[in-house]
Amino acid sequence: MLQSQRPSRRIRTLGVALAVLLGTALGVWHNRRERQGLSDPVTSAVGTVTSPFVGAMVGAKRWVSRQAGWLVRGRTADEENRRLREEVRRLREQNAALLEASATAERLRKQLGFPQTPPAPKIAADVLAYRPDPMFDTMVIARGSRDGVHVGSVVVAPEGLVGSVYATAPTTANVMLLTDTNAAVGAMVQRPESRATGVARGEGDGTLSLLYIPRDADIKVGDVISSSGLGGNDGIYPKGLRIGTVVQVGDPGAGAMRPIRVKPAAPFGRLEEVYVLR
Amino acid sequence: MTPPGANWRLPLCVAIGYLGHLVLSARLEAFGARPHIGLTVLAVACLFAGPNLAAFLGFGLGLLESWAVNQYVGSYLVSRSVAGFCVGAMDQRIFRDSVPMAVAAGAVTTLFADVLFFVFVPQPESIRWLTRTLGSALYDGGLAIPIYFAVRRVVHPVRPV
Repeated sequence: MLQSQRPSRRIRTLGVALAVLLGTALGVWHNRRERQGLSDPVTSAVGTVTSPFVGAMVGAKRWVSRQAGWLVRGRTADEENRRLREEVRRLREQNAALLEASATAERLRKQLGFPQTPPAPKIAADVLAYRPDPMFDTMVIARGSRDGVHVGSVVVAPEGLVGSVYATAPTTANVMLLTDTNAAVGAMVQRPESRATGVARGEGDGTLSLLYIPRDADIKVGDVISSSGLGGNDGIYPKGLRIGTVVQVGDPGAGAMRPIRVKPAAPFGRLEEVYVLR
Repeated sequence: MTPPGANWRLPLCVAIGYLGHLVLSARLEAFGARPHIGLTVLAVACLFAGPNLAAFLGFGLGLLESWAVNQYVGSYLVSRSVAGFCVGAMDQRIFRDSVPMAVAAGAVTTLFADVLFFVFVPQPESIRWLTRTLGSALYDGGLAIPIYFAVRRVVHPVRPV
């Protein structure tokens, strides 16, 4: 194309100028709505239109991976079956013991006059996207404000705590994972001899740090960490949810606290469904 | 310059590319680097678009990312629009419809869009951010090759002689 036939510079830059102006305006509007505790209608509308397609693609991907997995794992199925039967037997025994202990604890709580706390109702949600932007540890789930999910709702998996909802649209919600650098949860050591409390904070590299644990606290590698029901992000996490396992206990040196690393219990990258506590 | 039908085919490519990114990119992580399939499709699609359409494609990708992350909405919209525009506004004397250009566009667009985003939203862990971005840019450069052939096929469908 000859130089004289090219559109003028003003016309060539018109599109990007409009996009920048509109983008800035939408960004400011989104932040203002967020501060007021309201969802942004533009991103909500995008989510409402997009989520069915994402859901269909996720379903297709799972179907393909199941078929491929069946082909790959066909030979080892017998061995896996044996291992799973053994695990079911062991878990049944453990479950019976735990049910007995739970009933005893409940009876004693009643006798001592502790308030009874019924378990929070849960709703199941499909995971639509895991870490859509690799810079942030977030995920998108296929339940939104229409299903009763709200900002601050706690998200769990069978293995442990996943995170909390920070934004909702009618049919989807955005979850901040425990491992995000902006996430924090009140935590405690589950071992009865320790019960040290602190705050578990995401490190952005898939692990958590346990902060504010005194240097003389009884804590060791392998200890299970669960939520304490105190502090963290506005104290929204109920007590007793499994957070992870201590993998490293560092030397405190001259500091008041020991550097402690925790590996999260929930397998974030492999989650297909989660539960939202309402 | 924009091929006929590109005004609806290219936005469709970018939308499908981003949906593919949401579903697949976490599984494609290698050596700590993750591809940004959406940005790569945007870069390749903008090779076939003029500056205005390219800015519009970037804006569309920004909207989709804004929904998925639901924070820093303005930063996504502006960084993606400007990145798309820069590819679309490349001097037309450069023959853009080629594999080497697609590879360069895939890598540079990711780097440029993420650096622009970093300027708007500075990250606390700069070194980690830089390592991840460089890894993504390299990955996207390689990923641009199959995406280029796919987008080219959509933009210039084979017609029976």
